[in-house]
Amino acid sequence: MGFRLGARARRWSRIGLLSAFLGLVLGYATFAFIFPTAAIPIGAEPSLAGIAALLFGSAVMAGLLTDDVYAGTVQGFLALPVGAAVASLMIVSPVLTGMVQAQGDVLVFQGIQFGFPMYVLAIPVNLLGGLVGLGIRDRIAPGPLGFARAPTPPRNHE
Amino acid sequence: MGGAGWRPAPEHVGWTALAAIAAVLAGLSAASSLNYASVVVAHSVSYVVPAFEIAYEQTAPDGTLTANSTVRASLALRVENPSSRTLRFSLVAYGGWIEDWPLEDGWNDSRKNQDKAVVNGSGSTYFFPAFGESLNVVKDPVPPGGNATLSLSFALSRATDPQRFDAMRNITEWGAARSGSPSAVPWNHWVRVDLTIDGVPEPSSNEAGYLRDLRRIEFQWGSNLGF
Repeated sequence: MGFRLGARARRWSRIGLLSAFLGLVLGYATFAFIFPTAAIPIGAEPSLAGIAALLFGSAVMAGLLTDDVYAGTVQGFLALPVGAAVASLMIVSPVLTGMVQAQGDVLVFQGIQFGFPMYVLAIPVNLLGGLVGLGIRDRIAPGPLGFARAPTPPRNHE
Repeated sequence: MGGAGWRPAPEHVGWTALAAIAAVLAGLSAASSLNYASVVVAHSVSYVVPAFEIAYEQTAPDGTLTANSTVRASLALRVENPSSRTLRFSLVAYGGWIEDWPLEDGWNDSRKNQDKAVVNGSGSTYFFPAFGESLNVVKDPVPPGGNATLSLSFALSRATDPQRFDAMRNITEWGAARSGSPSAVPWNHWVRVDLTIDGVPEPSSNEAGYLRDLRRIEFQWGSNLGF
């Protein structure tokens, strides 16, 4: 029983970590989409191709480390609130300096409003990228736990 | 094969790569936040201190305007920049209106359609638009934590605008007759100063107006009565 709980905890901590990673990517991408002239690296306009490539590459990367399709799906959706939180934190950062007086909730709402296309884009990209990553992982090291699986001992053919 | 050295498991390589990417993204996010915060702070803490002066040059001994006189509006616009960003002057627009005493006193109502009425509690005050100028400005930048003053001067004479100058003559003559000096006639000044923040590029998309607003700081001082 203890082993089962440990495995479940490991599984959910993996989902949590990968959701946080995808959320960080999504938050940064959303900020760069809304404020390309303030995001580092600075651009005069949002590079949609660059942002999509970043989201997809990160989703593939997360897929490589995902347990299975279910976990990948959960991660893809959990990344949305994490991404919104990261983007909101970046958008309200001027208020956190204490030198700017603004209503944080209004800024957060505007960030979600302006960044909405990113959140819509992130769902299929996370799911598709996750599946691609899983597919690659299964080709390299097939099995339910993939990379994490302990090396199989050689069979005794006596 | 048994002597092969240690090789990291593919999953460890994957997690290491993921951590490295996450660290880079976290760094970029922090740098972006700091950059954005400094831009917004520059909007919030910088300000303009304007000073206006109206001079009547080459006047008659009694102070009234002659055909060779010049009315000169001088502006000194001091920009205080306590922020960490460098600011650059971009555009200055100035409007100067003189109160039309002859019209208010019922002596000359020929400018009633041209003047701008300001309605207050006791009635209407009429202002004649004497100056309306705007120009792009190239000047040394306003350094972070410092200030810079932009001085401008606009002249009105019979040679530059006879119709407006004649109206000014009429108003100042009436002012001299009523109060002893043309300088007694009140003025209404309005100025707009646009500054840009260094390091924030001009957005290429025309639709993203808020990005232009992020780059540009616009100050207005006084009442714009219109032209």
